[in-house]
Amino acid sequence: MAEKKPPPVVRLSYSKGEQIIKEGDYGISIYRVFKGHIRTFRKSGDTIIPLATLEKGDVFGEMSFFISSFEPRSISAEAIDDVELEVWHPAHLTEEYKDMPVLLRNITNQVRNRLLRMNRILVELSTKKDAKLEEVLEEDKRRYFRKEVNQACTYGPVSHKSKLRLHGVIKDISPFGLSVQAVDQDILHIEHKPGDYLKVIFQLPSGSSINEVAKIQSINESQASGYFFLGLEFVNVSKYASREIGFFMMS
Amino acid sequence: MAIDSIIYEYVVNEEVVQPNVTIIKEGAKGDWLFIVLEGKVKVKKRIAKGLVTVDTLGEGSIIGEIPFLLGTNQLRTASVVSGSVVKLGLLDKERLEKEYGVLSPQLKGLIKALVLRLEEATKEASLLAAGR
Repeated sequence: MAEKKPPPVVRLSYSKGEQIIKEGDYGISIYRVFKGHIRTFRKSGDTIIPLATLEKGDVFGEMSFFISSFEPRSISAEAIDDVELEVWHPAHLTEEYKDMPVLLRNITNQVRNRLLRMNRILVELSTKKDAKLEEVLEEDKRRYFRKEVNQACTYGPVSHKSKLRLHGVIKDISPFGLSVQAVDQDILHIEHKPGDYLKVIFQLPSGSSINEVAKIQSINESQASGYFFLGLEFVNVSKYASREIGFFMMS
Repeated sequence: MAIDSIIYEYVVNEEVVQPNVTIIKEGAKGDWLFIVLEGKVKVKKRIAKGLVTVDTLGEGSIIGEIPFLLGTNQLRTASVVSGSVVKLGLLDKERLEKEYGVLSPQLKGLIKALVLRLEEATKEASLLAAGR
């Protein structure tokens, strides 16, 4: 098979010290260094966290491309000396990326997710001097390793005697638990309070059926009138569910 | 199980590894790619003070992908050690190479940039953690 046609290329020049991209700004262009050197960095408060020095052939600005939603730049880039850059518009590449074979795209998304995670960890370690890497990793996983879904579920008390099943919508899922949008009126049927155990039954978008016990960790208001949010944490999750959710998270 | 079955098509062999076994050794040659089918693995980097765990990966995670994405003759960039009994699937590298080979040089450049960035960030994080 022949290689696909490259996208149109524009060339730009920057002088020493000039900022090329700024963390927090919106932009979709991707840059390749043609001449000179670039430094990339992040800011956390007043602390500058150096990330990399780039030279001819290196590419930057790629995160906006790999994060499909329109997110602000995650790093800043500045010219160390006089530089020339190739600027790529991502439209052509986006199409190619979408058409990539599934496993190749999964591998790339996994690298992207690990990088996003490692960048957050770098900020944590740089700003909280007494933080331990294992703890930072664990906390980060709990906070960010989740996937948005819109999946119907049924849930009810764990008690064998209770046949009561209520309907909710899972809004996000992680290997640790779920966020479920529940109906206000259902508090008339069963009491919902933190610490209670619920049996939750649902289907992953991949088609796998999950039937697990989860503990109510939090109850929060929903912006949608007539609903509230249940923060649920799995209890003794089965090998099957762990595996199926793991595969779903990586897909 | 749409996604699973597509991925399973790439698994050419399965093996079970006992806890605390080094599956991939940092600095060693090797370009096999695995998928974690069951269990957890720890990703470790060697620094002056010894080994530091930089990530824990579970079911569905791919391991050994960095030398594959960076190109030929790359050494393993981190060690991977089983954190429990782990079932691994060996992936069809030839098929992946064929699929990767037809991507445009631009897209390959972007993926390579992403991998290099991950390498730098992981190295930096392990050095920061070692300084504690």
